[in-house]
Amino acid sequence: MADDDFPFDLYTGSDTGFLKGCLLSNKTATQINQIEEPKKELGITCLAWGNDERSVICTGCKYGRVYCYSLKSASCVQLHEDHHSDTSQSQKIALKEIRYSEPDLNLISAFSNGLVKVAHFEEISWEEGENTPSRPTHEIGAGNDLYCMDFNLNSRTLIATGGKKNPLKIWDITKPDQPPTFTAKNVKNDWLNLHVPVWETKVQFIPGGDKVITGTGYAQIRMYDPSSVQRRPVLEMKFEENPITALSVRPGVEHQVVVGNTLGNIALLDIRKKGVVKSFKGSRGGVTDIKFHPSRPVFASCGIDRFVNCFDLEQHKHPLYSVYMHSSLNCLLFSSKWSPDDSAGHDDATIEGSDNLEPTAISDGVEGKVKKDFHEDENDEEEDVWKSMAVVKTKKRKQDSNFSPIRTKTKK
Amino acid sequence: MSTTITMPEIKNKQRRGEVYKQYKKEKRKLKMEEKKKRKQEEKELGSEAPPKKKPKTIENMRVPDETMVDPANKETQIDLQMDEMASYFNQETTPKILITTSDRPTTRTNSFCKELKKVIPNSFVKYRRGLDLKKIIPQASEKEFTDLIVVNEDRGEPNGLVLCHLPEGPTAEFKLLNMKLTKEIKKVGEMTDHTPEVNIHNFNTRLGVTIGRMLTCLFPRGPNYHGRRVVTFHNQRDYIFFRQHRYQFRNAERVNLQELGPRFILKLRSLQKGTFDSKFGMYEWVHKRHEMDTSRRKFHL
Repeated sequence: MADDDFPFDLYTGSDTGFLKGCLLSNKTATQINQIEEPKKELGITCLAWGNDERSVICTGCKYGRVYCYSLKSASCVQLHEDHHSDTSQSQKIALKEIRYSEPDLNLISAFSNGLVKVAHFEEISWEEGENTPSRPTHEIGAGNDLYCMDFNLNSRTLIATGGKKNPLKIWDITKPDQPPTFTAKNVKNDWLNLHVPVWETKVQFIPGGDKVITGTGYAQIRMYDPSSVQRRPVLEMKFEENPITALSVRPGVEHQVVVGNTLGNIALLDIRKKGVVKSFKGSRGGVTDIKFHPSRPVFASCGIDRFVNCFDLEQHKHPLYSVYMHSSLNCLLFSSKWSPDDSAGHDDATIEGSDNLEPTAISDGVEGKVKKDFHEDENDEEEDVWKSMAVVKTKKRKQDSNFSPIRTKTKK
Repeated sequence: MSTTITMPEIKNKQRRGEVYKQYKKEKRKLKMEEKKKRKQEEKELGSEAPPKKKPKTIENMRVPDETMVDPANKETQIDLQMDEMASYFNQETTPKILITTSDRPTTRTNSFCKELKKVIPNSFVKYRRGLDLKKIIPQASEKEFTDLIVVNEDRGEPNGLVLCHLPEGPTAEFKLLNMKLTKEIKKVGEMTDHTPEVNIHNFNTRLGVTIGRMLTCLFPRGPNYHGRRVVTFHNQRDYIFFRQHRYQFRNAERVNLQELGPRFILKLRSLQKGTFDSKFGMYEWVHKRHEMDTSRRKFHL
């Protein structure tokens, strides 16, 4: 990997349409695309890697246009047109999320009206200004008010969607006509026997598995396990009061997530312990995206306060690097590079943000490493013990009729 | 043996006092001499005298802020042309302001609203009638109001102000301090209904520019210079001072100012994207006291 091919640590997409590369070592941001006039339809809402090598970036614009930037040849092509030619219609439908899957060459784009398009591109030709899908695009109707979508890098066929009054659903993109493979069930009614509203704002597959973590507009963080019988969340916790707007699973530790909310509070949570492990300071406004570095215990957050903050999980709670980006940011991508110390051999770092990497291996947190190893060993031993035990079933205790007066009334 | 005893080591309080007095006297004498010498020098050298030393204040020792707006920056220009207030600056909309209060306002809040109505042309004061802000906002934007001002009060004293730009936001929440009505100010002049000139002063960071634009938006473009009425929003150490004056040029250098209308001070609490939604709204900037107020020399506007 030559340095010239992947010059930046971070890439950000902003409301004004600027795609910028950011070098953390000298805290500078460089413009990648050219924007001359203020145009709302050029505002970047989502970013995705166009290949596993992390040399192509796909940017999704506000009303459905998708551009592809090659960092090697510094060229750009358009993949998708705007969603509708009629502007009054298209302004209501915003592109929420895009993903590109490398071996199948599928571009998956999710719109706010619930449409998920799967377009197949045989090969992106960088000479032409515009590419068209080589096969007719599949479309999945994932329900109204879609807020989030994620693609499972493990199975490479599953996508998860969720939205407002639209519970988590997992779809198989190879079978577009079939109902979702998994639909989440809402949690039980609250203590007043009232319906708990549904509003999934962020969803992410846990790397290296098919469990899903979601963040909601009502500040809950939930983990779903599609392989189990239970359709309700297996783990759930609450983080403050404001909507969760950004979420990222800590690589290697599946029950720990970093979340950010509309007030700009960022914290590392442990959903098994149901508590905050560490909170991070320095964000002035709402957080829009959080991404982990593929091989280091480092994550970056961006927000509408126009700053990119980069935090270290094992060091202090204030940002390691903070870069001002001039316009409010919507999305962020971490490349596998880490400019602050180029000399160390990180070039062969694992490219995918998956489970085989060691978050603590490189930095100076020796303590963390020891702790983690210890933790893993213990886990293995424990698992063996659990496996050798027989399953004991307990009888459900009959509910006392006096105990739940509300429920009996409603059943009548 | 000559051991000098320093002042704090003198045990007799009276003696110590005397020595201290002497010390102060000498110090002052030295200072006056220096001053005399400097004055003399200034007189002799005239225009060639060394420049006067500037006093150090927390403002001129301000912690550098990287969000300071550079007007030549292309991205900031585009950002400003795309924001919600751009339609006012492109001369597409004319301001129409709705002023309301919290529920059951006291007389002081009511009279403050009446004075705000006088200050801001094309504004309307409406009784809140116990309505939710979230219900008022769609109705107001339907009736083509461009801004909504809500005055909140505590114990009969107005203490908060919400400024919501319609129809798409943003919403700014201010703390309202030291409000003085017109009749409480001595030697106040009488206000005329000419369109005032707006003077937005010292809003330099990116956040400050947005707030400045929101405040400019309240007043119609094209002031009536005949009225010589100026409305000033002056930012100093993150406190926004509101004053209103009538000016008169005495000669080419000097100008007379006559204060009119109410005075108050605003302090920004939060800036939220979109119309008022404190629960689910996305905040562009929130004042976090323990995190942000670590240095007295750090300012945000």
